[in-house]
Amino acid sequence: MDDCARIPAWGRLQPLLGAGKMIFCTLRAYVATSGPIRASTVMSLGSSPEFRFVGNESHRSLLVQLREAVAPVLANNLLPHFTDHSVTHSDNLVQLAGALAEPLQNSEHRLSDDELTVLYAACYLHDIGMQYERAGDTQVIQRLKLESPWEELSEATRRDLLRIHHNLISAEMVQASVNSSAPPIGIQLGSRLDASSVACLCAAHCIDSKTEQYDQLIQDRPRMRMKLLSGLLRLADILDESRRRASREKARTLLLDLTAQTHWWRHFYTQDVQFLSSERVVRIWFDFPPGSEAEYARIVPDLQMPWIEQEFARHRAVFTRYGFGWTVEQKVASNLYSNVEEMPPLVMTEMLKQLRARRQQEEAFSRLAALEQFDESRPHIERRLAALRAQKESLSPGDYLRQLAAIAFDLWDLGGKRSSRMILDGPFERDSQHLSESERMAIGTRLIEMLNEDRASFEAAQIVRLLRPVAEHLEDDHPMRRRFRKAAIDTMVKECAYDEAVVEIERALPHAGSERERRSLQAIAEEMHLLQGEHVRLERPSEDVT
Amino acid sequence: MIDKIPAHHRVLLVRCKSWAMRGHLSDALAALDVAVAHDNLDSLTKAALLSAKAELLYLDGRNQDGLDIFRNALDAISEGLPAETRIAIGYNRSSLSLATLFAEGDADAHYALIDRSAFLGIEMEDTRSLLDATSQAERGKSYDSLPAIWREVLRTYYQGCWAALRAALRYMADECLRIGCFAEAAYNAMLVGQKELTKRVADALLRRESVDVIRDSVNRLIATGNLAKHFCQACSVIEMLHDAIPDALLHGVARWLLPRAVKPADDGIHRAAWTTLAALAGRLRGEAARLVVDAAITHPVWCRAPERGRISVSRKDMIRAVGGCSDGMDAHRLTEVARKTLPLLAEVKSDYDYPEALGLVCHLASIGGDSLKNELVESLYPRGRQLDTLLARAAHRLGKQVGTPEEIAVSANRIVESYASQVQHLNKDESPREVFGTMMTLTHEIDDKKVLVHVTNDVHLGFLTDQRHRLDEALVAKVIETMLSIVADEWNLLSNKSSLIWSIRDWGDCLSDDVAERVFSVLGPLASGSVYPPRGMEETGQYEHPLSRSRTNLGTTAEVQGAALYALACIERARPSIFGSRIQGLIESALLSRNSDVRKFAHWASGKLPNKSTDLVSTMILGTRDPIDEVARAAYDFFNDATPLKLTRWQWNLLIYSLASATQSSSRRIRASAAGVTQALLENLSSGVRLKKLKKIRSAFQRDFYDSVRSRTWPSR
Repeated sequence: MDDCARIPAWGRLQPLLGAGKMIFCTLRAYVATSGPIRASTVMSLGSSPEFRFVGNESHRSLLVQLREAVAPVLANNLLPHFTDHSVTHSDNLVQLAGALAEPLQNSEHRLSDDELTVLYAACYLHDIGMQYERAGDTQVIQRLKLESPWEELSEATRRDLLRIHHNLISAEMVQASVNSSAPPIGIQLGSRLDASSVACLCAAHCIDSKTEQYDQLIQDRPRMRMKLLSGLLRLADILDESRRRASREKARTLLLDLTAQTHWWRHFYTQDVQFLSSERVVRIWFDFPPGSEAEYARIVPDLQMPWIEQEFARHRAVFTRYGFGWTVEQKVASNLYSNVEEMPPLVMTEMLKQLRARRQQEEAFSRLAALEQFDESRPHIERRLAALRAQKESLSPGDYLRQLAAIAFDLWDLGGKRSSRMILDGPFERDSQHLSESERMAIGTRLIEMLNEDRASFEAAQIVRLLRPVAEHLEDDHPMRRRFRKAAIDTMVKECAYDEAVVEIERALPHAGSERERRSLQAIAEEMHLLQGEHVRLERPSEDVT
Repeated sequence: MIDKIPAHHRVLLVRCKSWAMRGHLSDALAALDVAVAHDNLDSLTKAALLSAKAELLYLDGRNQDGLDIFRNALDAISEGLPAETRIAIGYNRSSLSLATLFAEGDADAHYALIDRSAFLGIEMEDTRSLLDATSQAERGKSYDSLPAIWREVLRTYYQGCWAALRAALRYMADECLRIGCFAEAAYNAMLVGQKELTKRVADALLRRESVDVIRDSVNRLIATGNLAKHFCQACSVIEMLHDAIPDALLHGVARWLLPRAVKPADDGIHRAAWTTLAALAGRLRGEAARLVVDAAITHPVWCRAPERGRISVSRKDMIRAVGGCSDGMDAHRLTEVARKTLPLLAEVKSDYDYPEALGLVCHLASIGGDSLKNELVESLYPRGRQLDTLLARAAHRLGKQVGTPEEIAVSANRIVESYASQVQHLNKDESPREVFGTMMTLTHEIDDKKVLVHVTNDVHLGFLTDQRHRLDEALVAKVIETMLSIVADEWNLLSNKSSLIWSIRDWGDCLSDDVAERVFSVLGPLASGSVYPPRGMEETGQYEHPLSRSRTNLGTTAEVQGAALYALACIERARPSIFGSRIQGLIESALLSRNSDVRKFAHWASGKLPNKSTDLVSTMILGTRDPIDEVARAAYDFFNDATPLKLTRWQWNLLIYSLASATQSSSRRIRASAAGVTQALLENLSSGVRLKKLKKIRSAFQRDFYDSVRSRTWPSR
């Protein structure tokens, strides 16, 4: 069995297995282990998650208290159109972060209890700013210097601001809860928790990891590997974008705009996350309506996976430093009797649009990357060229041309077509007599080929005429002569020098190296006759041709 | 695509295409079928062969057969081909779909194809290279532009997209014109099949005035223009060249056209063949002319009425062709042809070609002698036959009087009332009155009113003009007054006004002094140039502006002024001295107009004046040197007047110099006009130096490149 069995339905519980074995870590599994499912607004929370690897009971107890304290705040649900951001989401993150950290915990780089506590605490607090309706009191909002007081803003504007700045509001709420008699997160934080680190993780959890701001927030501290913790938190967060946070039942009760709908459906079709511990693989399971698997599989994973893969890639270096890492893969579940609904056509159209936008962006990046590579290679070529030109006086014309040709050919191979042929064309025409005949033919023929490829058939024809007498000295079946003939024919055809092309072909025909080459020459000639309207030079097809 | 297949298949493609173009389509298709049937063909080669076969069928107008190749084989094969090839084949399919009336699904597929090409960054045409080449060519650097365009021709050929190759060949045709390869330009124009290019090429060939160029071009066209689409394009070129085709080549051209002309199908090829034959007919003699006439009058299209709701476009050209060939017919043949033509006016009549058929009958009657004329009149006007307007007008030409004076008066009143409604001022919800001969109606809405202007033909007015001598004085006055009032209507279109004024010109011989004076009071100011655009269309140029999408010729102020001048001159001719110096003053002033159209009309009007003063004749002679061809031709027309002019010695010298200069003119029409004047002058001279000089000039015209010039020197014409 190359794969482990998946949990097919609620209640089929697999225990989390120990190190080195495959483990299941799905919300279903988790919820099943944690007790009955409850809506996030119900204050009865059920059991806390396991807080894996936390050895210190006081830390564990702190986390349980924290969870109970923030649960009502997270239940505010100020952004009802968002997928689930209740304590259930935080519990999932705790579970996922634990699973991600599992290989680390079996190594010398294992997370300390303090680090684990900060990480798990951040799982509960990173989105708390999103539920803080009194955010107008925070410095984050006050620094924005809004035109109207917070309370007078429309609800939509307030929600927008909350969404945009929730990470910083979360961080501020954490800081404000340290030794506070009225802690905004619902629990006073004391010295048992490194609140400053938690605040930084909250602030950094959704900002671009390539920014300076991110680097500042997650600078490692004594006994607190912030980069590592941030990586684990962010990965857990992104891995929780799945069906468990986007129930169709809830979606049906909401008036979601098209963008929100695509978000929900994307989550909905992301069925599960599976950790294949022994292979260090995180497998994302997708579940699509029967009969539409192939079509959906070309859309939804392509939208979902790049974000996850990019996030993993961003933290790969940090994880590698501590001797572990995960590979992400996708799998589409095959279930003939699945009840998964089809998404509405408009949602699919919107997803396709998003996919198109992403691919356009990727294309642009790819083009830029090619250009960057070319730009990077140019100074190197220019240095070689400058060095050669500096020694020109001391070199013989032949040596100079030889080295110049080498540089020009390298530049051609790097993509500098116009530059390379311009470097070589003039000097070759001027000084090629200083080369040996074989070198002249080799360099000249390649130059002809380059000129033809760069649509400079006139210049190529000049070189052909220059080299023709030299070619005559070579044996008829000499490979270089054959290559030259081919280049010469190509040149004359491209230059629309009809008569010259016909002569070249007629000269070449008796020396064709093979029947295939002979027929190819014949084809070129006849195609020219046809396109020039010289039908009288064309014959009726004979049987051997057909 | 094509450059990626084995060489021997490339050769096969070339030969099959050439073969089909040279008239051996079925052999070419068979050769392709044999090749496709080979078991070990790779998909790309198979696709190239099938695409070539579909192309040949497409070029031969067998679009459905071509589409079937896609449906039955190519569509499936192309799935596994490289993207660029798939796109090229997709475009080929679109070409065929487009030619078969493009169902909605085909349109969607076509636009999806364009989008797919854009996604792949695949452009079938390298427009950047072509634009660059065009720019080089415009700077006179054909040594750069020719290879660039040729490379695009090669690239598109190898790519295998038919439309892209045609686009490249369009540039190649223009390049060939620039570098003086005229036969090649004609050949490429035939392959491209674009009307504007065809005209450009034909014009360039004609401007060259080289018999060799015309011969080479025509020979190349008739040698390779055998597939339906090529044939039609070749016909277009040859039709435009008809006046310049050397006599020795005419028979060959007719022989190339006739097999298509006799085919029973009334399709594009048939039409093209007859349009070209109609253009050439006037030049065909003897056997060729006989064959053409036989082909026409025995053709099912001639002999059968078109199906209900349909028209036969080519029959109009067949009638023209027969008319063109009629000059050389003997009486027996004329009678035979006339009898074959009569059914076109009765049992196999079609409104579409009815005027042409009637015209042919009248023409045959005019050259066939009294016996034929009487026979035709008896057939056309049996007692009790209800006459339509055209047939009633034809009666006048055939010397047959129709209707009683009372009936004519009733008709006249109805026609006048109808014309009086040409411009209608109505309330918005009011229904307009019907106007005879309405071709289109313009509506101006102003608040709760509307003004309707009907654009009409002049058939009914023409009938009235024919019958003017049978109207009493009061009715004549009513007709003229109605026409003048519509001419004066500020809302009426300039084209309507010109048309009405042209009709008035013939009424001079039945106008009372008072009515004539009334005519002058309305037309005089117009003839002096007081013509303004109609209300609602003050921007006179709006319909001719390059940015206008609806180019409709609704007349010009110069045409109205010219028509007024001409009509007044005609009335003056019918009633000498009725306007006297007033009309002469108007004409003299118009002869100096900056507007060449006005000058042209003024020259024509001068020719109509009954008294041609020495000064006027001198002015006309100098007019033959007007820088504008049309004006100079109008001046030459002055000397074509039936009444011989008495010229002074000085005037003779001036005129002979003009004629001698005209032999060198680059304008075919000037040369034709001058040749006609030379011949007319010669026929009134019997000896002397002038005779010698004129004979020398005539001899130059007799050697002219154009038949239309040479033929003007024929005494019989």
